[in-house]
Amino acid sequence: MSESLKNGSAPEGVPPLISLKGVSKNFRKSGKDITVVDDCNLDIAENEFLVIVGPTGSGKSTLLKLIAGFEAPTAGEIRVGGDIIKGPGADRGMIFQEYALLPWRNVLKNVELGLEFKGAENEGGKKDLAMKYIDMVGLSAAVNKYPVELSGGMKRRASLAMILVTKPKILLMDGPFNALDSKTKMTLHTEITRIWEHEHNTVIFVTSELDEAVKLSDRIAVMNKVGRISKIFRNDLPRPRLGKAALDHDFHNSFIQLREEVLNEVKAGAGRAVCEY
Amino acid sequence: MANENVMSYNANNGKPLLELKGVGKVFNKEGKDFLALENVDLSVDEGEFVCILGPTGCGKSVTLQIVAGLIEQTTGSVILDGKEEHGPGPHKGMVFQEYALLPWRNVLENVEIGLELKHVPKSERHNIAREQLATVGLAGAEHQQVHEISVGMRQRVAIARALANKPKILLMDEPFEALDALTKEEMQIQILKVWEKTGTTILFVTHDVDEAIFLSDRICVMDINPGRLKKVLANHLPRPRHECMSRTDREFNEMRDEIIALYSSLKDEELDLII
Repeated sequence: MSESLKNGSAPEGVPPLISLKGVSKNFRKSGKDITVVDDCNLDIAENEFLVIVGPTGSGKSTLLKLIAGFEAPTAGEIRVGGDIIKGPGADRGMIFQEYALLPWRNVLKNVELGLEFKGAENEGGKKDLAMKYIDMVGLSAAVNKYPVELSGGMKRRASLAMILVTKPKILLMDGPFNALDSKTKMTLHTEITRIWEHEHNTVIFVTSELDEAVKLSDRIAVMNKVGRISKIFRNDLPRPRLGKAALDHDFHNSFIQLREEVLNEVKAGAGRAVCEY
Repeated sequence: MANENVMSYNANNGKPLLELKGVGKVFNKEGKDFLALENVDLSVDEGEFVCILGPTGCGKSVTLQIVAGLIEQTTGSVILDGKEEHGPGPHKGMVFQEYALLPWRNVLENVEIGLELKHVPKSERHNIAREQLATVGLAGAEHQQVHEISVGMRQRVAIARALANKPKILLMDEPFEALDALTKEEMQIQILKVWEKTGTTILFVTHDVDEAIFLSDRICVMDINPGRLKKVLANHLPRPRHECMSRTDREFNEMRDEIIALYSSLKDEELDLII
């Protein structure tokens, strides 16, 4: 317990933006209570990029949904900016594995959607803001296209812009780049890093890919098959980490070493369910 | 409100609600023109359930996307309720293979999207959304989160969302394709019930011959190279089909044989895609 608390501390001297204390979640399945998330303690600093990894069924997506407020914890508390959360809020934007675009709206109109629900400002301001984020995700050339005309990667970008335009302080990303080809994925890694640096969001990113975790994170939290955070790794690899930077030998060695340490931790906590790694 | 709907929907006086006149589409791919759809003439009556059937590459989805206003035809025109159509709108309800529900909104809020954007007052849009959820068999699921519900239920929500805008026509592009066989059959029955209850006009794209026979009043059989309309077949099988038809009935099989015969020029692997 004290070990996991210590591990869960945000960088020293910085007050945490998000704080989880003793967070557990049980689901009832065929008459039995199943603990999916068990006693998780975690502090996340403002502007941090935290990646959560773990085997299938380790509760990492559930933990994200708890922070998003889509689920309520069975025990423990989650605070954002010092206040206990009571459901979803505009301060937290969640990006799911499945993209969500309305088929009858083009890219611009889909991105504007977030603002319309908020009861946006004037028409012009709305469009300018949407265009800014469409540009940021690299979709300027497709602004008038409808979702049926977009590739899988372009749909993810549009979904991302749709969330970013509402300027959430916290971005919660649940395997957002799963099932994309590796080239598209690499491009999106560059873009999400750039957006994070530019917009100063705090990011919690769930994935089952360790390369992705090491490339993107400030810290990596490993969840095990009983829904606990078994260890948190600090990732001090210098940035930028993508493109040419990755060719440097020292960098490469440190990258592989951290990846190996995380992999061992995942394996230790996964029992037999490690095939995906 | 429901009654008023049914009355106007069921006013089937045989006048075409939707007309496609000489609709064609050429795509330009890497500098080369590619004829995706050639000269389609088609009309759909008010209250009719019309299926567009064909293998990959026959232009069936392109046809639907043109009607939806998502892509523009190269030739010809689309007329809905007497007016030439340009672009999408809430009067054309769309239900596609991908669910397109907004995951941060619950079931009720997803059905209300169109109404909320039109600034329909809260209590009114709640009532409309609840009514449509009941129509698709989802009464009581209003407050569930999208990620909690099955893919079949999500597609029901998408149908309810389209219906909430009181569309003149429902455009469906292989909406049950991603579902397992059992759920797919359940959804086929569900959409027939929705159609019978609301009387709405449906244009439904599929590559599944049995699905087209089970659902439709008429079947537009499409061909490939180039994509075009080959024949329109009337489907007089008795209704309600989920009660009085089985897919092993003689009439059902005869209809299937008739369609397969139209595809006698297809290679085996192309034929595999539709049966």
